[in-house]
Amino acid sequence: MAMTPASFKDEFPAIAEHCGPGGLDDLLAALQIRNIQVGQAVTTDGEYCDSLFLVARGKLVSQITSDNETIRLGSLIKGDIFGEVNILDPGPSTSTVIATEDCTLLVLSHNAFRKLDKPHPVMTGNILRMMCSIMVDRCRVADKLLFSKYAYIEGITDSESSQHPRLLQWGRDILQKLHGHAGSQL
Amino acid sequence: MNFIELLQSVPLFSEMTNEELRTLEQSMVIEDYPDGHQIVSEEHINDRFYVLLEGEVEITHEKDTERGLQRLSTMGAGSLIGLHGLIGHNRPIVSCRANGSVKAAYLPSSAFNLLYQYNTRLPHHFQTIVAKQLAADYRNIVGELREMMLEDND
Repeated sequence: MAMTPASFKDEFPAIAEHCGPGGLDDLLAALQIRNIQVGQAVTTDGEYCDSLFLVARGKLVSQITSDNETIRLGSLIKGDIFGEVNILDPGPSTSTVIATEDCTLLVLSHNAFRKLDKPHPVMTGNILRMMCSIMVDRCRVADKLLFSKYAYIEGITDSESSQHPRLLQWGRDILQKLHGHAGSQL
Repeated sequence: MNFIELLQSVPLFSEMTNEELRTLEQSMVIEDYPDGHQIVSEEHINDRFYVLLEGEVEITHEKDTERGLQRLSTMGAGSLIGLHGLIGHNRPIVSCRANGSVKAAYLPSSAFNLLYQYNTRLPHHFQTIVAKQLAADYRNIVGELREMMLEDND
């Protein structure tokens, strides 16, 4: 599934707006196409990852899992991106992302992105700033929620907190926002 | 210790070349703050990025809480303050006050934007530093929340 500059602009305008004509061609050349089958994991919570993923086709779910329960963070569909943290700073993934339909992803690795620095410093700089801006927004929202609920949590005893449904829901809300699945509220 | 040596002692700046650090030196302002001076306030939009060179600052949070002033942590030399202000011009979530005498260097966001116009490598390097710090902050927040959630689910 080849992606033309025109279709990339349509599907990923937030990234494309930072690319000049030559830059967009080179960015597309740097993207690897990966086909993912339903049920297959793209990233695994806690495991090393160094890439940004752009969803070109299909649907995925983002989640974290404990021994007893899976906390679903949200869905990713065509046009969404994920892995901003890992392309900025390769390291452990913050969630597991699994395909719920057959998918096609465009994958931009940290190294491939860095190789674009020399020929297209303005483009990569602007994309970097865009991703930093996303991170700042998410951190700000999380910090605000953390502080606004701080007093509430302190009022809950340890024995209550382990089974407190409102606390659990609040934690889920923050995690969803941190992973960018509640964008309208950001 | 001169400014460049001070910056080189900060891990995030240690990979910068001397030339880059000299350019940064020309763009940053060094100031001394007395004990108790409010460097960053929740009440005012911050558009400066600070590198704490000497001394200690106290991080507090007061706004929108019923409990009044909360002392969150202290930060020492080498700490970065106001990263978010460099990216988006908003009111900070926390305040930052000098705890004793403090020396800090700050870079206004306007200077950061100017760097982009005249030099491509340095702001790029600087942006990468910012990105790495943000990614670390993000991972920390997610990690703490996840731990709390998963413990509560057990």
